[in-house]
Amino acid sequence: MSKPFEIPGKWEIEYKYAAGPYISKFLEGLKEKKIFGIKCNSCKRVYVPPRMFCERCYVELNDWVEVKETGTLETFIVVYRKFYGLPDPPYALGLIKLDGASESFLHYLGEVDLSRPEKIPEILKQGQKVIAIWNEERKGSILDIKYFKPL
Amino acid sequence: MKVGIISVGFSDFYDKSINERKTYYENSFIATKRALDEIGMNRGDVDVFVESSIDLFAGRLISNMYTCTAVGGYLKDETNTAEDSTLALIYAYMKLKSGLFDVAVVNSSTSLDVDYVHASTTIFDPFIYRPLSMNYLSGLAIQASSYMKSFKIKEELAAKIVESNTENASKNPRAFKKKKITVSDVIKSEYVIWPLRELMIPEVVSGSVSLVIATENIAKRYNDAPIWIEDVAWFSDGYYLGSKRLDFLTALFNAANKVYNKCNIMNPKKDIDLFELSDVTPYHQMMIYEALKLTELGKGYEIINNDSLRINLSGGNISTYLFQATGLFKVAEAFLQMSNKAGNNQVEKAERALIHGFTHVAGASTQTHSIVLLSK
Amino acid sequence: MDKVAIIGVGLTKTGRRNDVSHQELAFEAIKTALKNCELDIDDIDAVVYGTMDNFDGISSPERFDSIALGCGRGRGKPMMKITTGGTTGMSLALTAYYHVASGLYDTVLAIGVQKVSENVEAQQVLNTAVDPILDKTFGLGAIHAAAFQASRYRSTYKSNIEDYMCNVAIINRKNALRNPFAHLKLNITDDDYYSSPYLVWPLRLLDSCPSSDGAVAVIFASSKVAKRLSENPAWIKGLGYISDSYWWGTKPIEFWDNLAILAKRVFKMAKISNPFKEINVAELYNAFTIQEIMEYEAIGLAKKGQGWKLLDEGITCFHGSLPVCPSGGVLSTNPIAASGLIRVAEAALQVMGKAEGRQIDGVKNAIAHAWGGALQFHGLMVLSNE
Repeated sequence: MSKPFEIPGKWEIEYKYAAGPYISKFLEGLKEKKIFGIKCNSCKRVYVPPRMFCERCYVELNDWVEVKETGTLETFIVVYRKFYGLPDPPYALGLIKLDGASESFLHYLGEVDLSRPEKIPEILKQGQKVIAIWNEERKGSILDIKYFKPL
Repeated sequence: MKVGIISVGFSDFYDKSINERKTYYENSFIATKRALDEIGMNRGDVDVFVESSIDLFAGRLISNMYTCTAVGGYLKDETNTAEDSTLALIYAYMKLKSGLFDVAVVNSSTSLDVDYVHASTTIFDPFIYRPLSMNYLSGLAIQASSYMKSFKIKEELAAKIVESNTENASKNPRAFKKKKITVSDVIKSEYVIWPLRELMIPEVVSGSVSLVIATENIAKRYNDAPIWIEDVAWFSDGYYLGSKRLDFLTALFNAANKVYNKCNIMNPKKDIDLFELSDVTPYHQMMIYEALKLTELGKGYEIINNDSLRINLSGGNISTYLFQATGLFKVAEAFLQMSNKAGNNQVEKAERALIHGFTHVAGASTQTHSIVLLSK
Repeated sequence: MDKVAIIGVGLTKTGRRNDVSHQELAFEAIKTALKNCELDIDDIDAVVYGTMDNFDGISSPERFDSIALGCGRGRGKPMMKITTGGTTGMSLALTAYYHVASGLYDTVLAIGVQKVSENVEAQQVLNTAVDPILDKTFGLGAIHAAAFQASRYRSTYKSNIEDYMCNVAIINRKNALRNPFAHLKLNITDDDYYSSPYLVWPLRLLDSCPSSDGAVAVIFASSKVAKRLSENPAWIKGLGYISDSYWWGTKPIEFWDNLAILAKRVFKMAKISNPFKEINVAELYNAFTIQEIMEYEAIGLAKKGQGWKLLDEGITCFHGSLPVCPSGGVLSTNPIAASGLIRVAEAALQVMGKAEGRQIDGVKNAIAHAWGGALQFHGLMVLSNE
């Protein structure tokens, strides 16, 4: 038997993701430096990012609210390894509960010294207050917020 | 123990011309909410949830990460089949038959975030078929060609099937495309992949369908006349085109035999009132007739739609093609007919229906054909 | 309801399997399982197939692999494709169970196949799972999700949890030395662990599972068939699955409460009132070290925030009173969609007394677990020798 071949391959499948009406409104808001959440009138939770339905109560949501650009860092990680095709390290990610929201959401943490991994627990803290730093140019993307900065 | 369908729900359906598209999982929520509201049920009353979603076409790995709670499965037993959605129904049916659960929601949503033909090239092996740019449509064309050649089928006969399906669609309030297509329209349309012309090929539309099914006692609490699942069967065949008959749907034939034997169906034309078939092309519809033993081999063209044999009252795939959600759409249509709730296209005496589901993501390679037999 | 049993399993060598195609790897697992049960492919009534699309460079690879499943011969086979992410392998076991428990079939084969090495970077593929509009841009993959768990666990419960993660990393890799089907077989020390680089803080390279190619086939049977074909089948006493929200903020990160809810349901079905005492061996889905510790707690083997105590007392090591992953676990071998079914296969082998070099003495009850999605899915199964 001959040596088994390896055939190189690459997929380039283009997608056009439907964001749906809820995320679309959220992204529109970011353009204006507004962060929209949506309130479930049954369980009173405010969801950021907003969504069509409350998963718990299983009702359609329509009560839009604006939440603050400040919030609490629920937890954080720091990426040190370069993963092919993914952003260049090092960078920090946080789950952030914005003031006025019931649950956290994902974003970058910025203006943090990431050069020494062993120092991370001293630099970032669970429960720390953070604030959104906006991009000058905003086009209706989650990256209209550049990152969240610890206060 | 019997298991019956007690409610159905649909989202709106969309094609590429509509810009304000929802996400596929928002559509799952809409369809499921409608199905539950219809019978005054809430998600807490449901034990299990089964979806049918294919990651490649949803454009997300693990596409049921989003649908699981959209169908109501928050902190519940939930799973996903990557097949035509009749298999999601069959899986839910098995779960209830096990005696461990009483109520299930079955859902399938189709997204329009990707070009299906293009994406399907990645389903083929990178060694033999992918370098030849095989896709699901080219595989179906190879089968159509083989069928035409074996039985000397003229394309006018295929065009007649398209005409008959779209005639039905024009009367069905739930069909997405209601415009009639005539034989001459079909023949005048361009070849896409010979022998398939543009108007023989269904266009994928986006949308969602949900069913609620329940075991006998619970079913009767919510619906005075549940539509019972009498039997189910499915078979898959092999991958290589050279290893099997291309002009005959052997897997469907085997599934039909299994159901007919079990349910004592000697003459399906007489014993079954409605047929909802996955006409991925009109040539396939003829092959489906033959595999279901509605006619002799090579004589599929003889079957025309009439009052004694009601086929694709929904309008068929050519009118509403929700890709893997198509099977559930057909089950839902049969349910509405049998429940006397079909509206404009309601027919008399719809006591027993056969629904054919068809996983054809790899064209003629490894097809999965399924049958769901419903009775009143 | 009729009882359902596992009567045989087929494991393949794992690692970088570029010596075989996807189809051939599936065939290898099936052939072994059939041989172990002295069955022929024609004795199999139906097949349940799983993979996690699209790690393998082939989407929906069940289509290509179908001929290895017997679909290309005779009448073909009823085949059903299941895909639920990391839980896929466990979902296969559950699906095969319901095929039999429904009374539709007597002998059902579940097969999970994955060739993770056929993509260039697994985390890049995993990144296509997260929400493409909001989350994908942050480069999130599975390791990132697990890092959030470790970070939050560390801040909430135990600031030196790293020392215990080190323990888990070493025990699992050592256990793998006993398992001929394991991928990573590393005899590592504390020093190796602490000098291993951070990939995503606080997780190091040695906290993480490898990218493996591998397949596993498991044969499920009705009690009638099981009693005829097997002297000591592994009976399924309890099973279940739970799904949770995708959204990160909806779930607690430091405690796997969705798994805790599931475990209660499954142990109730299996009539297990004290899992710590009644379970003799556990095959948990420990893709990352921290997860094994969190799984102890969620399954009820330890109190919330105190899973690490089991490691202090050596309870979960190979010679402990409740060994966890004598196979080496997912930390040593991770052909993703096969991994959950490998947990079931390993638990079945333990119950049947066929685990050879990794056999634990006197196993009556064993559990198998898998997690998947955005820390949102769990499947759990209890296997027993009676």
